[in-house]
Amino acid sequence: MSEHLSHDQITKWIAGQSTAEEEQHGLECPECSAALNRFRESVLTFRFAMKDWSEREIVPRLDETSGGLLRRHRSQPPLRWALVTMMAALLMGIPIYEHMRKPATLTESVTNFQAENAVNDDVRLMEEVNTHLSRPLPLPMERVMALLPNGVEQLGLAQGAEGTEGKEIR
Amino acid sequence: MTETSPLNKCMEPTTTFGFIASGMETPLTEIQDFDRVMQVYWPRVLRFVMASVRDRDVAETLTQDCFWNAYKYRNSFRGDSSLNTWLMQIALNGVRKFVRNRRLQFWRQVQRSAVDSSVMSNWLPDHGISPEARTLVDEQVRTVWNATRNLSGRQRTVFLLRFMEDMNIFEIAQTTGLTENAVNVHLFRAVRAVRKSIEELP
Repeated sequence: MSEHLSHDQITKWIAGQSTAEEEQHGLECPECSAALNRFRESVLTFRFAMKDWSEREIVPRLDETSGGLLRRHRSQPPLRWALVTMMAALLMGIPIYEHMRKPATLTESVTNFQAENAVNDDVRLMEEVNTHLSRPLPLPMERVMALLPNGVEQLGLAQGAEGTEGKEIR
Repeated sequence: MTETSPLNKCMEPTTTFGFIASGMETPLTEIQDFDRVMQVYWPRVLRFVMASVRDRDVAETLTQDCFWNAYKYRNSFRGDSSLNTWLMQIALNGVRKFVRNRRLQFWRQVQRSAVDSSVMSNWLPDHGISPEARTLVDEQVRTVWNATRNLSGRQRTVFLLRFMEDMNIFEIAQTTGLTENAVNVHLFRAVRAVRKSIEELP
């Protein structure tokens, strides 16, 4: 292989996907090797930095890890607690509200019922009074008059005549 | 096609893939001493999670969760994969869950302790290098850090597992649940994007 490796061929070489021929060329050609070295140097530095950092971090012991996890699982974030409290208050509040509301409704309905009854009584009384006043004869006399044919009309006429006569006498 | 990357030949060898080098224990016996497991694998999981979520507090929490879950379910670990792969799987699940929740909670300012690339300079140990060299190193670290931020989630995961954790394609496939071909595709795209950023360096 006389020509240089293409950009993708070098990428494949770095990724370990090149052919033996490409690899051989890469190792022998200074220009292609430079491309590899540039990548390798940066990645190695990065790797070294990450490795060095991670190894400087303190590794906890297992009991610390489990303790920490348990504590973490126990201590929920404040927002979550607030939501839980709100939900609980809501769930408890609904039945209490319903419970408080029901007697009030009953009292109201009883009062309304009583007021309605009072009005009805008044109306009924007034109707009775009106009926009583509108009768041409007293109640006991009506039964007697019912026995007579055309009793009421005749009586009414007779009363009218008597009334006229009476007025005249006076 | 060759499986080995030229980078690996130049990088310092990593300790093990699932076996603690000194004892050559199997993963099943290794997991019994969980305090030792934490000592060995905590830094690896922490830096992987940190580079994935870019938030120090979240990274510590997710790492803690990872080891807590691993401890709880250690009896279900059958040793089919290496311990490193298993822990990375758990850590990756934690990262995915966190990212999913963060998408849902987009109105919240989640990244309160987000790590800016400038903060990373403080992580670099001072090994008596000159200020000029220090600047160059800072720039290189910052460039890769920023370049990985712009990758897709899968590309970033594959890139970090390959070049930061030095895992091979098979192990990455096991950890991510992707096929080896898919890992290769994501890796190629990730390397191309990171290379582009590196080439823009002065």
